[in-house]
Amino acid sequence: MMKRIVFGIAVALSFVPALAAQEFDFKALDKIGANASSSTNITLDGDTLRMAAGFLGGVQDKDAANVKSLVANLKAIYVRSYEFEKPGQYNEADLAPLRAYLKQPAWKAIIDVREKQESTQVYLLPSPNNKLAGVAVVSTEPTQVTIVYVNGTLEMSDLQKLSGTMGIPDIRQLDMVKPADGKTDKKAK
Amino acid sequence: MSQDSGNFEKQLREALGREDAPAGFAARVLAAAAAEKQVRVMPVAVAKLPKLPKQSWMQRPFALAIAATIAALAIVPAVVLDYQRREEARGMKAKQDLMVALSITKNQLQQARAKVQRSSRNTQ
Repeated sequence: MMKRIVFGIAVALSFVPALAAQEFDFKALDKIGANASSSTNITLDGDTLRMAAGFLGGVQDKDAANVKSLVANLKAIYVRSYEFEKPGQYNEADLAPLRAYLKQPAWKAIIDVREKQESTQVYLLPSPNNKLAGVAVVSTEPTQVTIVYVNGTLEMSDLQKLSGTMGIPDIRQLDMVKPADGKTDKKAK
Repeated sequence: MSQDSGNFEKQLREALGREDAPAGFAARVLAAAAAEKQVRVMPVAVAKLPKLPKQSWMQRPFALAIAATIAALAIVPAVVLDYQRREEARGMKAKQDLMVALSITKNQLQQARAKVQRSSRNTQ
């Protein structure tokens, strides 16, 4: 009897990361950007990621190789970034569905910084063998909201690549011209 | 003997003598000649052949196959080229989006780290 209970718990626990890894519907966040002066909406699914990786530099390009290895096991990347002209142009409640999703037990908040009117949270979705199944960042300021969700298998070293200088150009070096949904049309400062 | 030979000569003269054509002979000959001319102009055999249905080139499989091959040879390279061009544009767009997405991610993680360091310094 005891064995059955333990087996049942083990089976139930094995489903927790899978449930947590279920796709979050990013359409739930569309309302946030309604009054945004500029927005960046990027959705890259697995096929698009692999296509993009195929267009990165050759084998000898070390930076390209780093990015390729980083995205090799990813299922999707979602980026939503909104800038507002004045404070109070977005409703914090519109972020509630995402915050509820990231409050599931499978997700671990590794950074939660709240300063005056700013807040930044970084969440990790651990998976077996010391790997990650996802990374999410939610950053809010009076005139800016940024959400990043990287879905897929990542090594711990990939997290360093993501936050470091290995292969990924600085945002200031990129011309942000019309990403995925074509909404943004601005130069990065 | 001389009487026999005399009869013979008489019979021979009669046989070989000129004889006038029967009445209407010339008219019948002319009519027959005219009829023969008409037959030559429009032979009965050809005139009576059954008319075959006219086939358009589309009803001829061989002609159709050649036309289709030529059309395919003309269209396929253009279609392939167009597909390749679209795929390349999609790939370049995906690459650009990926780099922007990764850059924003990096930027956010660096800012989060900086905020943590700043707040831990403030608490000390």
